[in-house]
Amino acid sequence: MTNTTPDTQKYRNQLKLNLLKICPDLNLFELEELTQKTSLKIIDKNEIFIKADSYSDSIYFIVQGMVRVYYEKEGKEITNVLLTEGDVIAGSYSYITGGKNFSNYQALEYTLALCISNQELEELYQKYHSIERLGRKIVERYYASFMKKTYDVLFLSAEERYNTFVQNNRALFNRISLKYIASYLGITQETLSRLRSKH
Amino acid sequence: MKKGFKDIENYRANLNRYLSKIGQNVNPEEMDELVKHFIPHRFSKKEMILAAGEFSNTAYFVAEGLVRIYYVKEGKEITNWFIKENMVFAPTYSILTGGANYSNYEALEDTIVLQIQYSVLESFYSKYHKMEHMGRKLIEAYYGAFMKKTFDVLFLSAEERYSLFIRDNADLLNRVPLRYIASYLGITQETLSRLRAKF
Repeated sequence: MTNTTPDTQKYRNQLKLNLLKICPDLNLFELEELTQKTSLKIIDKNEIFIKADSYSDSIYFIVQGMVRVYYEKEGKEITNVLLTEGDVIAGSYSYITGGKNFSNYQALEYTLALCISNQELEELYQKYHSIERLGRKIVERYYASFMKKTYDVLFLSAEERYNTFVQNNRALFNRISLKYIASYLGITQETLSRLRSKH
Repeated sequence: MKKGFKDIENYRANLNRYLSKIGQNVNPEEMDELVKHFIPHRFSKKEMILAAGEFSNTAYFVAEGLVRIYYVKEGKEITNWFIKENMVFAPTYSILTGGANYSNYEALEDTIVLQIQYSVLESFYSKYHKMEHMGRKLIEAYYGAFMKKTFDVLFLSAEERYSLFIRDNADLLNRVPLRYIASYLGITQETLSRLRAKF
């Protein structure tokens, strides 16, 4: 890290508030130690910082910016997750199973993330009960959203998915290129335009 | 001990072994204490354990028997999982989001489960750090399996999925009607017959 980087401590304080939202009974002393162990990483716009076929070694807490998670199938990019400030990124498939990731993680904006290595985080899990609980809560949260995404695609119409997305991500709409939103919703850009003018 | 479950101590010992593998450092007395909180319950063949649309906060360990998890889409049943003896299942979507469950849980054979409320499990997680660790590993295993299933369907051929299935579940071929296995693999019964003849 150089002197020209943004104010790390400011972002660590922001991270503490984010993590307390996920796990309100965090021990503040333990939380302090966790955040002090993170370092600030700058991810340039369009940079792919976790690649499919790679193994994860770090956890990223996004404090500014936006990331899309996509996989490629038959030469086509499918965006399946959009993440922003307050989100936690692990390359979860690799993190959990030890296998290679299936997805690419690309910054859609200039993005700042506080990072900690998997190994350091594991050490904190062993040392502190409330940090281990935070780890469980984070996994539960992303597992639930992965299931929700899966079931939405299965059971909701394109229009219902669009409405859900707009309700939950109003602020994101102007930040993301429409082709990614269309891909995320599993619809064509033409259908997306039609839905936008209708609602 | 509940009347009518003559092997209850044996079931609890199996549950203890299953959980001890996941929560490797849990103190044996703490594990015994937890395992006693699991209540045995019997379901007859074809009985619905939990239906889609219901809310549930219960986690299950299959002591004997076999459970099929499926959802219904456009009148068609899609089988997602088979859970046999000494495995666990839980309506994690309902537990984690508080929303209604999407899947149906049906006993394919006469089945005995040991069940516990997730909130009781969580009280053990809060009480003992090593149980918290076990809880994190349990939910990670769930999330990992859910992701793996999703990516297998996306990236593996029917033949590859079939090979994996018989490698891990050879015994199920004789216990489960082939139409459910075909549905689980996302192939027609004709394709399944062709694959069976080939291997």
